[in-house]
Amino acid sequence: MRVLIVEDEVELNRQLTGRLRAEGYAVDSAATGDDGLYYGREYPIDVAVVDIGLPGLSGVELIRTLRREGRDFPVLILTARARWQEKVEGLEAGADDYLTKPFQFEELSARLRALIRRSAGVAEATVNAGPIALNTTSQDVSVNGVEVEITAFEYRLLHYLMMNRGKVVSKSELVEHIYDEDRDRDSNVIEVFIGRLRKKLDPDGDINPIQTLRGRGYRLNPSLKE
Amino acid sequence: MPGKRAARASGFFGSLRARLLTVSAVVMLGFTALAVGVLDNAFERTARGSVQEQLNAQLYALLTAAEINPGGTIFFPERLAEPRFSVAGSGLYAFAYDDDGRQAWRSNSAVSPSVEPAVRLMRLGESAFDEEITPRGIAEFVLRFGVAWESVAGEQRDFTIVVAEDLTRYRAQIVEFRTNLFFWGAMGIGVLVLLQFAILNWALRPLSAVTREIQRVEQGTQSLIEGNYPAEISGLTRNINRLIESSQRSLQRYRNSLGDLAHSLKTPLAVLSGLSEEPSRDHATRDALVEQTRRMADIVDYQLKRAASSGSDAAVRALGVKAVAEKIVRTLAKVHADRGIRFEIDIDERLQVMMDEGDLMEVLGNLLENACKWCESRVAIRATSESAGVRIRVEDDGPGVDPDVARDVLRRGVRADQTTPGQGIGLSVVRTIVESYDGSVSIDASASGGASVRITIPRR
Repeated sequence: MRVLIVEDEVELNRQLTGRLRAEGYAVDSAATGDDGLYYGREYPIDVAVVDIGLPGLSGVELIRTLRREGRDFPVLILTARARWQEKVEGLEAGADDYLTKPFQFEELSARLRALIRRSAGVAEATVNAGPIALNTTSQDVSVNGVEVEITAFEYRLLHYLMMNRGKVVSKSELVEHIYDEDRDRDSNVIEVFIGRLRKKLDPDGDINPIQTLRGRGYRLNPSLKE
Repeated sequence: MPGKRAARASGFFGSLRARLLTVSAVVMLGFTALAVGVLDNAFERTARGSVQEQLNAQLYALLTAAEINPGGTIFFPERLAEPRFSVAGSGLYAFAYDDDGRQAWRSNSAVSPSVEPAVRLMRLGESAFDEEITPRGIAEFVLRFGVAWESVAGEQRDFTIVVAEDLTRYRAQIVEFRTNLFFWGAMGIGVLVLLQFAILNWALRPLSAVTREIQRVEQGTQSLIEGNYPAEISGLTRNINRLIESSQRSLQRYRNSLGDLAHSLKTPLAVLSGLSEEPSRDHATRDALVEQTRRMADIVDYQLKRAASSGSDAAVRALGVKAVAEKIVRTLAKVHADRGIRFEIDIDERLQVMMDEGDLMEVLGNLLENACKWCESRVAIRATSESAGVRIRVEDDGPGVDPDVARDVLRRGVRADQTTPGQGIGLSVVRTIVESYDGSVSIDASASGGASVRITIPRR
């Protein structure tokens, strides 16, 4: 999942970027509203964290502009002033949740997961696809109730596919949502990881959880029930 | 103690109108009294003078009519020119005395002996005019005149002629005059005082208008004094307006700088909070750091919200309660979209409350946010207009609040639940804001056993 952070305080931005990366997000980090707008327009963002009190283009204006341009990824606003007027203004502009500074990182992380689930139309913390269960909080994956050891990168792949079920996801889309802009983008790596993931989730080849559609990309097997 | 007196003009003389009226009434009364005195005195003198003149004329008329008989006694014709001398008890009397003081003659009018003044003889050519009382107790003006006739024998005989006028008529005149004088004098004073009162009212009307306008400014129905006033007052209203504007400006500055302070304090706090969570620290240090940064954040929050709540100042205006409640509910419904909370809003479209919009949002936001935090599936807000003011009730179907805890939360701003940060802060901010509008907050149980918070904002 690709998260955009727009926060002008350098140290807080650094902390958030580091910890969200550690949680497996692809992170785009901006220090001004204008940079945030650029990322929001140009990159396939899944969720954004926006500080309301930004220099230049304010958080509220940033959100309003993005919404007007049809960008509908969920946005969580960070407010320092904690007046309700500010929260209401931010949410009326198009944000989906708010968090008052200072906050616990766990709280932010939980809210982001909830926003991502919600935008995928999933209500529970655990997402199911047939015998496969993916817990977005603990980032555990199990098949028929038996936990499966998977790497962080494999988790990200599976998570993205499950959050976009019913949709064909191209290799380049996977790369964009899973890699940060500044990382090496080798789409061949995707094939390798998909292969490993298939082996781990379906060692006997019964359920075929991830389908390959030649020339188009991958898809979570639609016959697997939620 | 002049200092004490200057401190505050109170009571009757605390009113400008009463002062002016009293002073002008006293001055008018003095003037009128003086005028009445002078007039009365002048009238009396004139009246007395005219009586004297009349008596003189009568005397001369008598003298021309007087004759002396060969016996040397004075006598007058039976019919005198002045009829009043002939009518008994007419009030005009004449007497003649010889130089021995014997009465030589009296007019027919002087039938009663009591009208005869005391005998006092005059030398030749001497005259005297007096107001006196006869030995038998009748008040009269008396003119005495000494004359001499030569008898046929060539002998000079001295007489004193006395003309007396009863004072009753004169006194009646004076009394009538005085009655008139006092009546019209009193009427004059009355009319003048009434006139003065009307003039004062008219002249002071701008002052009461200013007072009413200032009252409205205080109540928040208008922001500045707008009327056109006479030169003497317009200076005052201009200065009051300047004062209002500058206090609004400084309040705005104050709030802005508080907002900036919040922003600049809380971002570093967020950083600290982030640092404290870094895995390299041991558990005890992390917990302590987390707890302390959270406490600092709460203190900053509470104090800032408290200071920024405007309370009863000029930013206050009549606000539709429903629109604000709907805004907050929309916001919270979005935030808690995945919980499927049912919101019920039961507020009359026209219900208004006299508050600053930010304050009302803060109150409803905190109450509804708490309700969302604790509810199972239902949050209700209703507002009604009562005799005590506007009453707003926020209910949820959660576990409810322990009455002791509720009392503590409302009293000292302690947190009801340490695991849900901001709960206690939220309620005590609500209390602080509501109390700044002289309102009240109470917590009890809702019908479903959840919490029910009721606030009352009095009308102003």
